[in-house]
Amino acid sequence: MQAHDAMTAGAPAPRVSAGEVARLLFIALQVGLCLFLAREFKLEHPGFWGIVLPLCLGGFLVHHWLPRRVQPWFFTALSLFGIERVFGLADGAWLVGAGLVLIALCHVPVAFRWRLLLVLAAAGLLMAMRAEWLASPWSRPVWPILGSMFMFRLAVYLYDLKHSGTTSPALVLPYFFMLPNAVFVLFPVIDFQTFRRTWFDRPALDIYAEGVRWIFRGLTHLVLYRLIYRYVAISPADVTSTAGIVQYLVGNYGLYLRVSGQFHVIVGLLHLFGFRLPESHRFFYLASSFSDLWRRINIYWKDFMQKLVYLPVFFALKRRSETTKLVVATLAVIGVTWFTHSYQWFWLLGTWLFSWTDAAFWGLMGVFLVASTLFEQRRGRVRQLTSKSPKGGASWRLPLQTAGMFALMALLWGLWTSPTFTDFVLILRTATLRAEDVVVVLGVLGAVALAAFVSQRLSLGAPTALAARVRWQQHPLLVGALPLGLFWLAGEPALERSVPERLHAMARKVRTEELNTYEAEQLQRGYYEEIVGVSRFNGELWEVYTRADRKDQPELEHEGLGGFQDDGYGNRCFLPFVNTMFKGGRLQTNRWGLRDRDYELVPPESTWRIAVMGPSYVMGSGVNNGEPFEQVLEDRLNAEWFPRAGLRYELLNFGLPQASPVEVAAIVGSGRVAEFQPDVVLVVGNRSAPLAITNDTWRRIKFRQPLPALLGEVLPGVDIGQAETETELERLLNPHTNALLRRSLQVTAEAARALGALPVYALVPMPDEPPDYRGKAALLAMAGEAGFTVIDMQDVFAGHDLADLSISNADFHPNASGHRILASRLYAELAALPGTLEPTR
Amino acid sequence: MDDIQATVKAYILGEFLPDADGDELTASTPLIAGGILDSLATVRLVTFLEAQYGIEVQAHEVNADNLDTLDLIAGLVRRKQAGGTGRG
Repeated sequence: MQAHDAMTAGAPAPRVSAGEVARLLFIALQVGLCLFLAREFKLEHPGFWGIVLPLCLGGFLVHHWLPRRVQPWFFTALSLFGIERVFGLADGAWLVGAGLVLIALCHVPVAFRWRLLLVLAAAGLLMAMRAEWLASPWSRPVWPILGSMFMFRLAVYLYDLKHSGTTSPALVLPYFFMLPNAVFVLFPVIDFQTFRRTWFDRPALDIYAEGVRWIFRGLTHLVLYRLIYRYVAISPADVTSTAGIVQYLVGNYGLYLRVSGQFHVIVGLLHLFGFRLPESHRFFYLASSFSDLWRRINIYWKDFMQKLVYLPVFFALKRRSETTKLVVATLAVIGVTWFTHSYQWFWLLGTWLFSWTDAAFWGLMGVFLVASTLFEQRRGRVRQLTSKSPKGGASWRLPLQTAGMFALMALLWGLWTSPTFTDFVLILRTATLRAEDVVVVLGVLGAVALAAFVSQRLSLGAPTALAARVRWQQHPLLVGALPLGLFWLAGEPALERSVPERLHAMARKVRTEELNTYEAEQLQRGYYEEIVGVSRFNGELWEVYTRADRKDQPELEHEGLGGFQDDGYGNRCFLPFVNTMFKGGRLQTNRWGLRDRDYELVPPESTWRIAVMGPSYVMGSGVNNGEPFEQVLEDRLNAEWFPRAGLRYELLNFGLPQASPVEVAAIVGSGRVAEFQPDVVLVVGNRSAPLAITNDTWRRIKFRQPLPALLGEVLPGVDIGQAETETELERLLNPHTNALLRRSLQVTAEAARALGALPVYALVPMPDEPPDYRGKAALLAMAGEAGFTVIDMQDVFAGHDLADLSISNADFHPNASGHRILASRLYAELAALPGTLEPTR
Repeated sequence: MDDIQATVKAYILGEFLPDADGDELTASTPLIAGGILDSLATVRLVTFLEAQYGIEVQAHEVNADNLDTLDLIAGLVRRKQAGGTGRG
């Protein structure tokens, strides 16, 4: 008798012996170890290791002792409590309330087709709210979770309601409100019948033990993902050789470990409450064909597609030939997968994903999958009842086939995650044929083939459902806890001298959740606002986007900047008299097209003017008028420094979004700044200066604007105007960014001196930057050599919490508090430098 | 093992597991969860059941509740022959 039947019959949970109590405690100890490791490595969302994992640990121990019929209700209560802990009472209540309405609509006592219409109408209403055509009563972070809970599961549930008629009422709420779903947005599309059928269908302790295995495996994947994210994944612009291509492709494909890790953890946690859900992502990197990959990688999606698309299409074509049915059903699955990927993107991020690389990826996947299926139809597939190692030719053929499949998938994945199709082609065009390239290619393929060989010898690829028992060598404490624990120990400060320096640094670094260089650059560029550029569900940047709005802060009102115009000297400046909301801050421009108060063109008598140049945070992105640090500083100088110097202070904000050092040089050198007769030209820069040069140049190429003369001067013979994509431009400029930066600083300093102003360079970080970084000294030296008086404020935010300083948790421009800190420090720095606040005596 | 189970077992061994030891395929071996019946093999098995026993299986009945073991498959065939429906 299956457990859910036992539940409806009112049978109590089976009693456990003293030995079983000991085993339960041993399992709890292992879950506790998972909690410790997840917390120490700060894996995923803080809500995961801070709320969901502790709740699962405590909850499962209570849950185990409850009567079977009470257990689903307890699990539901625990899940609702978890939702409240993560979202707060108001948003949590909205989330649960909206979910309950959707579930209730599935049970309205009318004909099924009317129920379906009601659900579709409700979904339409929610979509209008998600697209922000209609206001929603809950804050934005609720959407991805609400979407994740209902966007697919509701379809499965309706399908089962229609065909089975009866459900297991007590399991309906646990099915939709699963505790791990409170923090994991990417969630397996669990089949309701599987959820119901596998609930306590084996002895409870065996299910828990299996769950612990999946959790440890998931944590291992998540730590490996962090390592790949930090040390392997690179920007397309950094690819300049075949070895680079391999690193780019393998790194990208490796990032999928994050999804795999999350799925393992989710399914493992559900095991602790009796849901013996199937294993997913089993050695998927070792798939030997497309159909093999489809069966291994995300089996929840495969089963979902099989149930709702493949079988209905196949049966609808019953009278056609088997080949026709196979081809049409397989193509239908791929087509629907492609569309639902975009649909999923919409619910999670609020916008539809349609890109050529996405379409090309799924198109090619469809072709390969059909070919692979037809091949299996004609030639058959090796299936095994028990774990056996292949013999003869198959023992070496399979590893080679696996290596080929890995290469092909990495290539397809690279296409999928490339910014554009052209970028991908340009990446491949960087191919070289050097000895080290051959070594890298053969090394990677050889490693995959070796792994496949070992896997088949040990029968690791066989489905767990067929495994007679778990061997002691596969115990999670041995294959999961031990390596993770040792890696954690390697990062402990107390053992710093006992482990190799590099290993220690890696083990430390992997504990922090921060963007890698490539994604930090993308964030800096504002790519998170154009999410088609964000890698498909890989990487931390996507995570940043899904958390774009904290529940404890208002949404950022945004109307744009109102546009730019020519300042009369060939540079861009704001339109005059703009009054708008920009990233949550009220922003006005004056008659001169500066984001600032109004000033006369010619400075009044006894006035000390400082022209402040720099990018968006100088302009005051996301803060109100009066709050940018230059305005705070101006007020303070007039209040505190005026009595001493007898001068009025006017700080003119020439800041522009994404202004690069090249653009600053052009503005200062053009006469635009000279019009205002400043006494000081204060150039504010940060470590992203080289990136800003690329962004600025790409903007000019894209909008067919003339390129600054300085570029031609520094890069004679480099035809940057012909770059087809930003990545190609970046690759062209990368070797020259230092020269460009140096020359820009020289031109700016010379131009400032020519107009009689003191050039000052201030290194001012964004709040998310570290207090020190490699390359800082070189940049400051470069500025000094160019003739600037140099101020180093890189550590200005040290000791502060990033969340207190930035305008949102997805946009790290300084907020009003951040600007006050900058103003205060800059005041002190300028006060200590003769000639910056008054004429040198 | 009854007649239906024996017939289906012979079909599965012949079509999908030609190298397997027949004794290892028991009435409770998980065929779907164990990866033996993938989507292609499942629809082939259904076609076989329909032809062999003169029954008609619906798309929504093609699931682990009805096809995961020889035992369940035999149960589905018997219910169909008796004029009933499959689970799910």
